[in-house]
Amino acid sequence: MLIKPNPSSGTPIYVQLMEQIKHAIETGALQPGEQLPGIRKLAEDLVINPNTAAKVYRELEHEGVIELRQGAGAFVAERKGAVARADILRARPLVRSLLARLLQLGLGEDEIRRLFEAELTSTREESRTNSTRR
Amino acid sequence: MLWRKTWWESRIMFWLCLATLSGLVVLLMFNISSNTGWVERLQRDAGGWNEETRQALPALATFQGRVWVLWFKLALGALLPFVAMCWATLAPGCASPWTGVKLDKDRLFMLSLPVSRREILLTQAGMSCGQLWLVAVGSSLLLPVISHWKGQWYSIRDALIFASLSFLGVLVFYFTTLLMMVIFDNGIKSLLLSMLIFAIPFHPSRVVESYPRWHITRLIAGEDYFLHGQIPWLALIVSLLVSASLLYIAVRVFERRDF
Amino acid sequence: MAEPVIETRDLKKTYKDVAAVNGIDLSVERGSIHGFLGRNGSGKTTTIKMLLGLTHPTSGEARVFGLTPNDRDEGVEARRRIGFVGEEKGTYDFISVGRMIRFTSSFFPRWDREMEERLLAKFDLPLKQSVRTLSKGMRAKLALLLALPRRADLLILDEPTEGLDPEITEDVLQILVGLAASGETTIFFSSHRLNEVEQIADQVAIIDRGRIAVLGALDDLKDSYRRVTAVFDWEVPSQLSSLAGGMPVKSDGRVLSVLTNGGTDEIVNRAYSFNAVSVDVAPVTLKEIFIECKRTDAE
Repeated sequence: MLIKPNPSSGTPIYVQLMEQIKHAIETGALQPGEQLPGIRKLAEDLVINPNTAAKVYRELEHEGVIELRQGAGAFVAERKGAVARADILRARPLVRSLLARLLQLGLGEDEIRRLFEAELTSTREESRTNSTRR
Repeated sequence: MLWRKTWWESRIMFWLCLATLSGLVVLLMFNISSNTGWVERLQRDAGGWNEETRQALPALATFQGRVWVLWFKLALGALLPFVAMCWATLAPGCASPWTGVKLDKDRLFMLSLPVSRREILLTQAGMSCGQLWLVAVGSSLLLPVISHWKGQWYSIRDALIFASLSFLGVLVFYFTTLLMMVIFDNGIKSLLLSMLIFAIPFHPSRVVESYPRWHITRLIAGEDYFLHGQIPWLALIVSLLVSASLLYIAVRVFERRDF
Repeated sequence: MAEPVIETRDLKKTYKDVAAVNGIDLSVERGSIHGFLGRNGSGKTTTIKMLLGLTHPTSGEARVFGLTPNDRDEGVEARRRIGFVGEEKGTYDFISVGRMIRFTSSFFPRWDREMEERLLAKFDLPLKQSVRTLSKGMRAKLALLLALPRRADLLILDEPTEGLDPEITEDVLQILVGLAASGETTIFFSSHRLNEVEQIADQVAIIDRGRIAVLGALDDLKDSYRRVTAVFDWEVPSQLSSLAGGMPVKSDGRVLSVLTNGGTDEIVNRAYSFNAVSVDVAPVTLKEIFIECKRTDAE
C-alpha cells in the first residue's frame, strides 16, 4: 500500500511517510477506525529503520491523525471535519501554471525540485519551532 | 569441529607423507640383501669407524641391524626431522604459510569465531603431532610385515618403539619451526631458520653416534634401544620439556599478535 | 539507561609512528542500526578489528557487551554473541559450502536452523560446491549466511551488500531491519552504498583519518546540515573564502557554496552583509555530508 520512501530526498523519511498516510486518509484509501500495520511490519515492508517507523506513528498521533491503542496497535482517528478532497483538485492547476512559469524563466527540473525542497524544509522548520514554542 | 577442520585441511599432506615414507620402506626392504657383503665391508673399513660403531659391529651385522641402519638411522632419521619442520610451515590456519595473503582471510574468519587463539594453536599442534607420529609408526610398521614376507623376522614392538622414539626426537624440530612461523609468518624464512639452527652434521665415520645422554639425536635413531634395549629417558624428558617450552612461547606470541 | 553494546574511549592504534586510529569515542546503543562510514585507510577497518579482538589497541579502551575483546576468555564470550561479515568475504577455500555452514554453526549453540534454510533457498547456494569456485556474489551471500543465523546480539558488518544484486540487497536490508525491530539485535555496519545507510540507519558515525568527524542520529544530522549557496555580483569576497569553524568552502567565481552544521543563519547573514544577490539554503544527503566532511582542525 505505502510506497517505499526515498532516503536521499531532502525530505526526511518519516515526513514522507506521514504525508503518504495523510494522503491515503484524505483520499479515503484509509478509512477512519481502520488499523494500520504494526511498527515492525511497517519497518520490514518498507525496509526502513524501526525507530523511524515508530516516529511516523508518534508524530501522526501528536497531530491527531491516528490513535495508538495500548497493546492493540495504530488506528486511523475518527474524522473531525472533512478535509476537502477538493483541495488537491484545486492545487493541481496551480502547480501546473506555476511550473509553466518557472520553466519559462529558464529553470531546469532539478533546480525547481531543489527550490521546492528548500522551501518545504524551511516551512517545516518554522512550524516546528512555532509548535515547540507553544 | 575445530579438530575436524584441522584434520580436513592437512589430510592430503598426511596421506602423501605416509605414502612416500611407506614407499621408501618398501624400496629399502627389497634392496636389503641377505648376503654377507655388507658385513665384510663393515669389518674391512673397521679402522675408519668411531669406537661405538666398532663395538656395535656384531649387532650391525644381523638382519635387524641392517634394518636399523638403513631405515631408522639413515632414512627416517634424516627425513623425519625435515618432514617435521616442513609440516610446521604448511600447517594452515595459524600462520600464513608460503601461499601468503591467500589464507589471510581464512585466518581472519577463524579468529573472529568464538575460539581463543590458544585453542587454535594447540589444536593445530596437537593434530600435527598426532599425524607425525602416525606417519612415523605407519611407515615403520611395514618393516615387520615385509620382513615376514621375506622369511625374516622383525619385531613389531621394536618398530613401534623406534618409530615413537624418533617421533619424540623430532618434536623439537616441529615446535621450533612452529615458533618461527608464529613470529615471522613466513614459511620459507621459518624453514631456513630452523634448518640453520639444527644444521645436522653428517659424519660418514659414525654409524653409531656418541652424543651426550640428554641429546635428542639419541632419540631419533634410538641407539640406546638398539644396542642395549634401553629407552633414553633423559633425552626423552629433555625433548618433551623443550618442546613444551617452545609451544608455550608460541602460544604467548600468537596471542599478542595483531592481525 | 542500558549499557551500550559497543563502547570505546579514546581508542588508539599506532603502527610504526602512523596512527591508524587516533582517539575514537563510540557508543552504540542496544537495538540501534548504527552506520559506520569511512574512506579506505580512514581507520575504519582497524577499529572494527579492535572490536573483534583481532588487533590490540595501542591505548584507550574498547568494550563490547562490557567485555574486553582482547582478553582470552572475555573475547571468546563476546565473539559468541557477535555475527561478523568482513570486507574480505573470506572463508575456507578447500571446503564445500555445506561443510562450511556446519563448521561455523557448531560454534553457536543458538544457531537458527530455520533462518539458515530460508537463506539457503533465497540465496540459492549449492551445498556441495567448493567455496573456492564460488563467484564474488556467491561468496558475499555465503558470508551473510554464516553470520545472520547466529542469533547474535550484535552484528558487525563491513560492506555486507557488496557484490549482491539489487533484489538480494533489498532482501538483506529487510532481514537486518527485522532483526533490529525485534529489539534484541544491534547492527553496526559499514557501507560505501550511502543510500542504504541512509535508508536503514538511525545513528551514523563518520571516521576520517583516524578520528570521528561526524557522529549523531541520522535524522538530527539531516536536520542540522545544510548547504548554503550564495551568488554574488562580482567575485566572491575573499573574507568569505574561509569561514569560522573550518567549514569546507567551495568558491567558484561568483558562487560560494558552504556545507554547514547548524551555522546556517550566521552564514546567510554574512553573505547578505556582503551583498549577495541570492542565498539559497537546501537540505543535503548523507553522501554530501560524507564527501565534504573533514575532521575539524579546531582541536
